[in-house]
Amino acid sequence: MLGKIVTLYRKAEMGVVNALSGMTEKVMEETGFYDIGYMQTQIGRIQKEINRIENEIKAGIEIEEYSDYGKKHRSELMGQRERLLHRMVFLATNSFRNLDDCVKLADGHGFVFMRCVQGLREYHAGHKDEAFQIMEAYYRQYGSVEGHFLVNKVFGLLLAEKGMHQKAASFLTYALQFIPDDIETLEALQLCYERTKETERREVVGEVLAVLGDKGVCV
Amino acid sequence: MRVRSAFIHAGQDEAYGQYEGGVMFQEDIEKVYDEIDYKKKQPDFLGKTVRASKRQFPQIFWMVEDMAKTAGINDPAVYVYEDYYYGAESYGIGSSWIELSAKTIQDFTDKELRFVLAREIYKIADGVTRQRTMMEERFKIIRQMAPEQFEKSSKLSFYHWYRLANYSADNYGFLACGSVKSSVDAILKMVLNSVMLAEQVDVKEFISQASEIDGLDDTVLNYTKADESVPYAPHRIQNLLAYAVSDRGMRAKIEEGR
Repeated sequence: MLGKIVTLYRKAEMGVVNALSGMTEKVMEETGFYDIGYMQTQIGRIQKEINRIENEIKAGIEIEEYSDYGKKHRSELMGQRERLLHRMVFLATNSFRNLDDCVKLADGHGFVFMRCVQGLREYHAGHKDEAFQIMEAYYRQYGSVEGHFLVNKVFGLLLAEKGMHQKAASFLTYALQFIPDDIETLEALQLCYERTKETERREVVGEVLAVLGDKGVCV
Repeated sequence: MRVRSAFIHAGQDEAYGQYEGGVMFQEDIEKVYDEIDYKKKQPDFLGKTVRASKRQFPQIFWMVEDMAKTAGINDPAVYVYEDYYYGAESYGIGSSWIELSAKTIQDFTDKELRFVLAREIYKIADGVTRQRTMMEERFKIIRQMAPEQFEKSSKLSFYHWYRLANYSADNYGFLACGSVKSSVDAILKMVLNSVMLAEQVDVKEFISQASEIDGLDDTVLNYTKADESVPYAPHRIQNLLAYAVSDRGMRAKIEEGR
């Protein structure tokens, strides 16, 4: 009994401090690297929020709230739900394993970004030329895919394979800001710097690979 | 002098803005600290530690002098003390100094020492040390005046900013020592307090511990994470690697070599 009271009290106290400071949930954003734990937590939080919104929409329909305010509120909630779903799909598509599920989830929502996901699927299936065509067309039209590790990595790898090392290096460097210990990306970047004869940069990447224990490093 | 934007954490200034809003008694604390607390410490420093100079720990003296010059600040005094633990920490409001444990000098390579000392030079130059010392004094006052929860929440806001400043300090330390390996080794030695333990670490696997930390998400777990003044070591190493391979980090490092 006493144990329960103490646990409840301490949890409540932490809740008060969390609310006062508004800082605790932000801790994860301080680095914001896309490791598995970060992804699971983010997606878990989004799913929770989507459930809350869906319950609110359902409750509005059940009590037959059809006033102007009710309709406006519902449409705002639908907009929020759409944005959250987009965010969830955007995050989840950073892993090849999630691509098929994400395609199903995004079906009918008209997310433009899903064209890149199609490029990722082609790449994963070994159809590199198709992948390159789709992604290049997307980049030509929209300029960038900010905040996405896998799209930038894959496009960087494809550019490198086509001999466009300078351009590839900027995509690979950007991708590494989300997963700095991704060996495949680091190795491709090192090769790009070797080809562009940027010795100092190649050495830094080589040193990072060596620290990570990569065997085939040329420092 | 290093350009601040070349190494600062992207969210640091915004975090300072949020924390600054809750800052109280700044001038009073500064006055009391310089006139009483700092003076109270001086005899102890001179009587119980060794101050680095041209004749005592000269390698530390010259290292700090060189780094202070690069940072555009006056050389801070470095007091070397005997301890079982590794440690390098700066303190002070009006004037600043660095406390360095003798065990750190003994077990760290020159580059690793450069890394840990440069971190403190950055903190002094950018006012981080000043804010940290002031915050500690402020906690003492808040504790006597307000409910405990207020002190705790104020602390969390400060820690958020201070953790980001520590990421910046790591970036700065990397630029000063010029080596990813030495920077990572220095972080590992500092945190694990053992050369032998640090040598056993597989960095790739150690970084994956950051993923597990990020996967811990509820009120108690988030509170515990937010209640740390310095970021966890796996996060620090992740940040350091990301900075080293970033375009910004590369440019800064190349500039440093010229």
